[in-house]
Amino acid sequence: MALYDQGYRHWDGALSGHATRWLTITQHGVRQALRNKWLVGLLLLSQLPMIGLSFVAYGMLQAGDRIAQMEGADAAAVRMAEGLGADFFMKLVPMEIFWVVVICAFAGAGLVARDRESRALEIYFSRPLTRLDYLIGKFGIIFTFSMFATIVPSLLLYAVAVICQPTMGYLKQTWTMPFALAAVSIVISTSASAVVLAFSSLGSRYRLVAVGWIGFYFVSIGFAQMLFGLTKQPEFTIVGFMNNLERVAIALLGATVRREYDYSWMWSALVLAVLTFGGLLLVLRRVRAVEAVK
Amino acid sequence: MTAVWLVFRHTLWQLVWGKKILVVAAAAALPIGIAALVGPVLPDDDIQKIWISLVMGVFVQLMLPLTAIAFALGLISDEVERGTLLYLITRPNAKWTVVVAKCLAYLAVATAMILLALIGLYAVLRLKPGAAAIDEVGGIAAVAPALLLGAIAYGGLFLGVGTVFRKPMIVGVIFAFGWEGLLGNIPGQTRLLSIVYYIRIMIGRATNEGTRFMQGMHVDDGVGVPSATASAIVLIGIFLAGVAIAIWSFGRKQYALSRVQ
Amino acid sequence: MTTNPQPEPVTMKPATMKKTPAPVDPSAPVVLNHVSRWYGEVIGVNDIDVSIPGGVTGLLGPNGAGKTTLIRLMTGQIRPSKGEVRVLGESVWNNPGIYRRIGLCPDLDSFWETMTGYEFVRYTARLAGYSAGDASTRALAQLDRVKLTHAKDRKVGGYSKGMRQRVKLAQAMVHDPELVVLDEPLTGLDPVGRREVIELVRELGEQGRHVVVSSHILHEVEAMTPRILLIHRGRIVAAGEVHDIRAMIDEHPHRIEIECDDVRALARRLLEFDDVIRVAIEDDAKRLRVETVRPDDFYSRVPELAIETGIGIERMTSSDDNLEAVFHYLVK
Repeated sequence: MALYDQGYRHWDGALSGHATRWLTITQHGVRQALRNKWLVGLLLLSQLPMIGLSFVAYGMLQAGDRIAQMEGADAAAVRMAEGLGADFFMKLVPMEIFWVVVICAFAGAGLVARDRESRALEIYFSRPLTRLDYLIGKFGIIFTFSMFATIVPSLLLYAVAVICQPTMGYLKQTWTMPFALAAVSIVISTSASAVVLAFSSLGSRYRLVAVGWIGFYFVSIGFAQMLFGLTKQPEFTIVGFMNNLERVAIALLGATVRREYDYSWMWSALVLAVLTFGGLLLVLRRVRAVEAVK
Repeated sequence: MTAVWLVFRHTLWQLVWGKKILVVAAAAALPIGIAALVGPVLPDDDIQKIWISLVMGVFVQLMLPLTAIAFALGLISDEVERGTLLYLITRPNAKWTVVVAKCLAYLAVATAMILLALIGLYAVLRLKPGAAAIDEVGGIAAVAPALLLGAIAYGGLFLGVGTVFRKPMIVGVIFAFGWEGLLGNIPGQTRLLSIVYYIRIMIGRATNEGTRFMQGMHVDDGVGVPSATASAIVLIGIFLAGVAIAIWSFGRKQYALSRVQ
Repeated sequence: MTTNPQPEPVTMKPATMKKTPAPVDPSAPVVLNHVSRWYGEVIGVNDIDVSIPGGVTGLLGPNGAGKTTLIRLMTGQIRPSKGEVRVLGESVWNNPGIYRRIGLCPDLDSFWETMTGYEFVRYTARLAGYSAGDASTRALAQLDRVKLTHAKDRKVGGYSKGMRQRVKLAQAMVHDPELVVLDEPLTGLDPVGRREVIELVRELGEQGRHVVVSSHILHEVEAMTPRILLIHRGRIVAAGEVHDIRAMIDEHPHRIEIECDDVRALARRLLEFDDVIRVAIEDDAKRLRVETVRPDDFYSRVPELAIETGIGIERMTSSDDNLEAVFHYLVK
């Protein structure tokens, strides 16, 4: 009688490297989230400010044509670079931040909280995944959506401004703008993603986390604006999450510094760095495969 | 009526001992904290300005919508998400009793939070010399009715939103901080479509300082501005419409299908 | 939308197995009159025309058969897309008054987690209209009935799965309903807990209450009641006694697949037994497909045969040995 070994045989095929294992979490999370029509709707809505400002840019370009006829193409390019310069793109930033906050509340608040509620962490950590892989994977999900709400409208708006120009003069004057816009998008998306993940790791109910995140965002703005409004001391705006994002964006874009931001942008950058790294560290600490149940 | 009382009491307990109250408490503590922080360093003459600024800036723009988002949006949808609504709707009570009871619980908690915050702010500012100037513009009595009606309007509306929509949080946040923030501050007739406008009008008409503040905010530009009574009626109307929509929607919905599993 | 033609429900008669529609009794506690329920393009239940008589009835079907949809329909949680559901003589949709007479133990594991077991059951009793004193008495009695008195003051959030299941049962019975509907009540219970709940269901039936209890495990239902409704793919495929099902399982030929190193020799030996009605050698000449009418005898005989003949049997599988096979048989 032939006897065959029926015992355990380990899979000895090739496995993907550890370095990209987080990508599986991100890819799966993004795909899952995009099945939600509400999120797709939000991502589309986040492009509305860009569309509105495109019309404004178009109006300014009409005026540019008249300047070109009267004063020449070079003068028009200079005037366009002023009109459609850093201050113009800065108008987009607060609206981008608003949509990032909404998208983070919707798509980010549940990222860790839902895993904790459904005990999916046990499944994650019964695989060869580290907590860092998990963190980067989850961060990648919300970062992707946040970037969609920031870098896409920014660059599209810039593209509109460039394409509609009659000459290449505007492009020569503003060629660094796309890089600055990308940097602003990265700062906004990174900070918001890290903080919302931190909130998500603190709770196990999506709705509660979302309320906490929204509360944190708007309460901090209220605090900053009221303190500045009453004292006229610009340094107080450093307590506002959005205010810090705006302050750094102004510095990166080279926009005009408004009165409430009349202090070094480094302070705001420092606040954002603390919030970002603090948030990510908090997630690392909070994420455990097994949790004690009361 | 027993069912209304039971659900009211239970919801009240959920709201008071739930974690969401921390967010509302943070918003409620904000004006008090700001007053305590900046009160001593600001000139005594600015006391009216501080009072009205905090009422208009923090209470109206932040605390009222945040309270409604935290509490009213989830009155029904939280029970749906938790799966506990089943225990409420499979008892021999009309469905509207659940909506009404939960709405009353929201009103009780929101009123308490707003009044506590308002009294706290008033108490802190009273420590400053010249604080009697607050009473010259009506004190708490002048602003409390508008704030409470605002809370009622937001609450009713968000109760409706929380009942009708499957994802009420997005709709609520976009409305409270997008729609309201945008329309409420744009000069012209479009601001008639925002709740915040009517609250500001009521406060403005009740306080002279508020009227001046409103002018600065491009609110009271003189033409076609509703009276305080009309504003109050609009706010109550919004509340009633929201509750009616909630009752109608709640009666028709099949919540066994709604729960996110 | 199109639907595949489905067979009429049958009243099971062992041996004869005539497919005759079961007559609907309009005076039965639960009557579903040509009820269908769609979820978008998916059919939850399809043209169900059945009455559930008094006493304990098991609703039996594999996962996804439509048991929970049927229970949601008969407890007024959802509205039928077509047809009418009448429970205890009343229409059930949007009729809160009926819940005085119905007790529901849902399949969802959902609670107000910070309430104690006692507070939870008492609260549901109060919502059913009992005074504070009566609700307390009833809550304590029901908690005692489901053996949870010792844990009544602990928060439900800290309960084990079995305790959570039992507290759900307590709230379903606390208002003394005429009809108790239990959706998968044995899920998560340990063997002792299962026995207790089974006893409880029997007891309810003996008290003259109507009980509808769903499950996908035959022997569980069999332990609670002899009367079952078989549901499959949204249709009631049979209504009758459990022993008929058993008989059907036994009488319906079982298909068994055997992999061995000498299929022809084994086939020759198997054909000597009278319960084996068919043996086929698969194309690869490594597997046998056997049909037997007495699977239990067959299974006990095979090891002896292997030892006796020296044939090496590598694998023996049967896809038949479950309810699914019976369902397929019934819907043929």
